[in-house]
Amino acid sequence: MWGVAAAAGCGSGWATAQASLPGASAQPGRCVAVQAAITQRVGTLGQQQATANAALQRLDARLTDLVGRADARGYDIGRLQADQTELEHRAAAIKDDYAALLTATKAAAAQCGATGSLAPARAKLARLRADVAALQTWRQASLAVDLQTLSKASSS
Amino acid sequence: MTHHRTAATRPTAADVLEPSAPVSHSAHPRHRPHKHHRALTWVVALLSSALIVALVLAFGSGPSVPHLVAPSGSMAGDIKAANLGLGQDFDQLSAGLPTNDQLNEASLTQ
Repeated sequence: MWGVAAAAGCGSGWATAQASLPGASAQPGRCVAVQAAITQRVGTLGQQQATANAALQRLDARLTDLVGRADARGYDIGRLQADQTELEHRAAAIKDDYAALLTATKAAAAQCGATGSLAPARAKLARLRADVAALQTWRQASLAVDLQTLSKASSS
Repeated sequence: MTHHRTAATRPTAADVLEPSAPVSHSAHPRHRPHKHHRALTWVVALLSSALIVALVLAFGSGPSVPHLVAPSGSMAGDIKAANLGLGQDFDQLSAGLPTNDQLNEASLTQ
């Protein structure tokens, strides 16, 4: 859908649009090439998003499964349940980050590669990378510790 | 006090000979269900109920969800297996992150 709208921008109204964009090329052919390149990148980003969403879903399912088993065996699952809630919140934020990144990248296509057109997308990517890094930090500082505590309790 | 029967209430000869209520065929001893037939009906009903209960128990809860943590028989084993899977998913999440190069404007026309 966005590709069609963006391609329309390369038509009769393209020169007018380009005049207001700093650094934009005055060549319609370049605009088409830029949009094709962005389309390709959006496709790759979409695949990465799907892979990430699947991994996040598996993380939640694994933890849910483990909490259920610990509960069935009579262990205290209070901390693991808190971890589960935390993981769900962080996973939702990362999914939102991916969606925002794709939206911003698609929006850049309409600007035909003008300087700074991908800056909002880069900002979204920075946010995504920061949230994933924070998730990894939380994993080490909280989840891993709680799992180790439960493991020790089950061994004693 | 004397009661007089009217023509409307007085039974006629036809009423006496042909009672108004029809006699049911099933009420006749020859047409009553046999005891064995009734017992068989009960057995079939019970078996049908048992079959329905079995089917509901087998399929009523929907398709079973495969366990992502292979059961090990012990909590420590389950935690170990879960840790392994969680580690793989966390690693995949980080490894699959988009790079800054994917959003490089300079390479858009190359």
